[in-house]
Amino acid sequence: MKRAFSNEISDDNLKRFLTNYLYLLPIIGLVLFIFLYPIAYGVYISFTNFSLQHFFNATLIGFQNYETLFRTGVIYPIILQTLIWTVGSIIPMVLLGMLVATILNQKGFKLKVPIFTVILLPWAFPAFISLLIWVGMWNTNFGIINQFLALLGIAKVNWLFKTVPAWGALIITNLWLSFSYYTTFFLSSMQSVPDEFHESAKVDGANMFQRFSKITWPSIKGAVAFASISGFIYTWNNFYPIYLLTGGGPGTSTYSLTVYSYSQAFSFYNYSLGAALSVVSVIILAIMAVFMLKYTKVLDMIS
Amino acid sequence: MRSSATWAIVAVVAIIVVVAVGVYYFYSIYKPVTTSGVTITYWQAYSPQEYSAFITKILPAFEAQYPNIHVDITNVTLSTTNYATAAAAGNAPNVYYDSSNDEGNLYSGGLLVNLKNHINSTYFNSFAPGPLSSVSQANNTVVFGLPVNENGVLMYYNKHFFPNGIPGNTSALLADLTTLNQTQHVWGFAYGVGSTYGYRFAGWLPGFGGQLFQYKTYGAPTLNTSAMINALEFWYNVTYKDHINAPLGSGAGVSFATGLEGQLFETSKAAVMFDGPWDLVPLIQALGTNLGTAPEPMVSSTGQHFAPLLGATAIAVSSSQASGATAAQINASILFAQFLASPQAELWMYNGTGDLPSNAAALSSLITSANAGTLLPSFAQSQNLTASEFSTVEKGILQQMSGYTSPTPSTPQMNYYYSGLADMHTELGLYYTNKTITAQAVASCVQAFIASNGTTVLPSCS
Amino acid sequence: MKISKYRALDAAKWVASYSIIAVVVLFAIFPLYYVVLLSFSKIPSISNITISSMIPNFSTFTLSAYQAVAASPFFMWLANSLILAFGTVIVAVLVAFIAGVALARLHVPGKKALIISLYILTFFPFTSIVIPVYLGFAHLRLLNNFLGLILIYSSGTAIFGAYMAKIFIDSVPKDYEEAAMVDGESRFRALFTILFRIARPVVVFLALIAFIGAYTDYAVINVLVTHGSLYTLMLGLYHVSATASGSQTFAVNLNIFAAFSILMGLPIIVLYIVFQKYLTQMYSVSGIK
Repeated sequence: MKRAFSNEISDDNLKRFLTNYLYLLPIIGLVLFIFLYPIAYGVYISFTNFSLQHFFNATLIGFQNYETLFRTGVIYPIILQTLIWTVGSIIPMVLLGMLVATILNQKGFKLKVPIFTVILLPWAFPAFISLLIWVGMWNTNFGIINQFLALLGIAKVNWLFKTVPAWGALIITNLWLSFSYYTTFFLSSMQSVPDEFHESAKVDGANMFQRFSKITWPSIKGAVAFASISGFIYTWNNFYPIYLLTGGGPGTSTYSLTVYSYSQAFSFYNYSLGAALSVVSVIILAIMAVFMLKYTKVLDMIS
Repeated sequence: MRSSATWAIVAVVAIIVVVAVGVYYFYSIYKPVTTSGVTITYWQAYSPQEYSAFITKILPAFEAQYPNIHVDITNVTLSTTNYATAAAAGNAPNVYYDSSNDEGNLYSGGLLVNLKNHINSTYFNSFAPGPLSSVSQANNTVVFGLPVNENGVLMYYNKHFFPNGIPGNTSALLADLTTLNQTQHVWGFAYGVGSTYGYRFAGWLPGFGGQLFQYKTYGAPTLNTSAMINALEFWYNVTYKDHINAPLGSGAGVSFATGLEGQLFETSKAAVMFDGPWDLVPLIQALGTNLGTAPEPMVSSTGQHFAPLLGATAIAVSSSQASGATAAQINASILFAQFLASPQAELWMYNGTGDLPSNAAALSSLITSANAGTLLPSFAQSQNLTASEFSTVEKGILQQMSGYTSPTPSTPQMNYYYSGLADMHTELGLYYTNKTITAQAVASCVQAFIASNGTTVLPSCS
Repeated sequence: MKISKYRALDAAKWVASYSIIAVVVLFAIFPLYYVVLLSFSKIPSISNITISSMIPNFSTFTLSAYQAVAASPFFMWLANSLILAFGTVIVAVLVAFIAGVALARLHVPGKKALIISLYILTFFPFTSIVIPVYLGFAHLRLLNNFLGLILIYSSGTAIFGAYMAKIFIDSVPKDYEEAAMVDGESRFRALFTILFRIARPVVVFLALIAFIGAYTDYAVINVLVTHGSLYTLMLGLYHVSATASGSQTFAVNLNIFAAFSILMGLPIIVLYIVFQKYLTQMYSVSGIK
């Protein structure tokens, strides 16, 4: 019997073709089950006036929430701050992770296992609790950090109450929380470079930096790109460091889109405006993510 | 091969365990109610002492009186947000325990019933006017909760630092605190200017000749006033110029992680703090007979007293839209709320916790005993206080509550004031620690936010 | 001459390496050292901490904070946390691994667009979808239910996990499972039994991420669980702290908070130490030596 359509797809092929989709079914099912309805609902309420005043009788109001955000201009500094938070966090994390991984990966480095264990600890400790500990350490009058600075003759720094020190405190705390992860990731990708490459390069007279740029870097740059982009996405939405350390202050100067959206919805019960903020946040993030994934060719790596 | 088989078995067993656990919880929690009568759900956020009084005295008495009503109790950490989320799904508890201002806000969203429609209006006359007004709206045609206590902030001080008693006006008090700071190296106040929220800040306004809002008009609070600016400047000077108030920091994590105000005071590192009767038990535990109480002082330059807001914690009943309740459940819920707000239940509560009653009769019996020096509830007795010692402490509290308070409004606008000023800790931070904006700008900023009914985003003050 | 210059450079390299590592180790360990010291002290608040309290003084060590923690329902909360965390590990790892295999080995047209779209869906922070999640779960009777929580936690890590699994499996030569298929195993079994075993490092990594996500979550469970009997350590810690005296003005004593944190962190730290050798191999099969 002849088939009307492409003769490339035999019965057997078709079956296999469909079974292959079955492998992706669990993840599609899970993500759609959890996210599809909430996101559809979130987008919907961003076009309504759903708030405590219109709790059981919310109506569609079109783009009014989005208009409020953009016409008053309130969202522009928040977007900029989200970028400061994300880029400012990710660069030191990746650099420190790379530095520590490079050092640990040197042939002949002693005490690698115990040192690596200690470096893993910040990652292995519950982040919510670590943040509460850091809040106490940054305290202007009683915090241990200012007490140490006083030993060095440095005057008390008002860490969480002034914009610039507040960013410093947020980024250092976030660096502490995350650099273990990046170290592990990079160390693991560096270990996939066989030692023989380094050895032969050494014989050829290449110095440390040449070896790094000629051998290590080309083989880990995919890993670095992947870790940086997934880390960027994670940090963009990372809520607790800002919420617990500065609460968005001083003023509104350390709010990120996520924290601002949360405070609109849950401090002011202005659910629809909070939803509009998160829609804007996701659109910006998605555009950047797709662009970065494409540009760095990570997209080919992960799919 | 063997290892892969092991993996497969582990995976299968694990999945079975997970599904079994899931199914178990599904049925253990959603067991259909088979008992006759009515079951109502109750979310409470009692402190350990309050919970103990509730579970050992109040609940058994209620169940004895109403054997057909079964109360299903859930402990929650006070969270109006979670209540609202549950209500959006028609899943709110039938009976809910929260502060009067939060409930006022929930009522305006249609989440709570108006008890005036269900209970004879003469019933409400049994409450003291302050707590009742904090749960009323619209010229008292609406009552959205039954108050079970009355709350306000007063001045706690450490008698050790004030051998001659505590001065009643600001200039004498500040002079004393400055001396204390210089000679004994303790903070005068432990008051977190950076983390202040509206409830406490409102108390300073009357001292400078202002009011948070026009009583009985129930409109938006007025804050673009000289009283507001003077209050802001007062705390700026005390904290950053005179350095007699401990600067405590900001951020949502501060109070949670450190509890600095209370701990500075409890460990005698601060001479004065402002707090409510709800913290009486831990304060007595920490300071014993050194604990002094007094109304907040009079402002020397104006001759007026600081007057904190008088509010309440109240028992509210969810509307059927919020909780899916039947008429029978709503009726049972109201009976339960009335029981919790009865003089007997309030006195049981007082005896275990020091929560002041909202019932006029119960309150006046306390005042009489305190004046006679014979007041000794069990929580104070267990701290080895004598009746006369404790009566003195309670008299200071009662003096504040009956003498110098402002009524707590319960309109939705209040929530914008509370949330606005709570979030405004960030704006206050700009003012207080950096002085990059003026007190006038903070006042206008808060006012603009309240006036917008929270429909606009938090404006940028600077 | 040339040799000694090389040696000097080499020595300088090691001095620099160890100095940098020393600073990094201090940075990593100090906050935890601080918590451990507090947990064995009687220090009630940060206002009582001075530089000198950072030097351990064994004569003032006390277990009182740990006794206070033991008086709370700590072990019930721990049991709940572990059930939830292990459940999440199983679901998340299986789902991510199966998807990773499909991405790496199977011909699935349109998988790139599909998997990126799913990834973008997970960009919505949980804080902004919590209300609709609650509404949906209320209808499905998944509130106060570990199953619902396990599904939420798994969905959060599944996509990233699938990517990680895919990258690892790409580094595994196809001969492995082809050899097994020649031996007569079915394609499915060959893919899974063989690859799962080889990919153990990345599986461990995904398991740890899934574990820590569920074990330390506060935002999700705070909304979806109200029954005290289902509290996890994270809710327990918050509950103990926030209701210690019924007010926010007083928090739980700092030393008790510290002791609770240490006890709560211990299981994860143990897991990390036990599995750390896999963590440095998670990126590709050639890392396994």
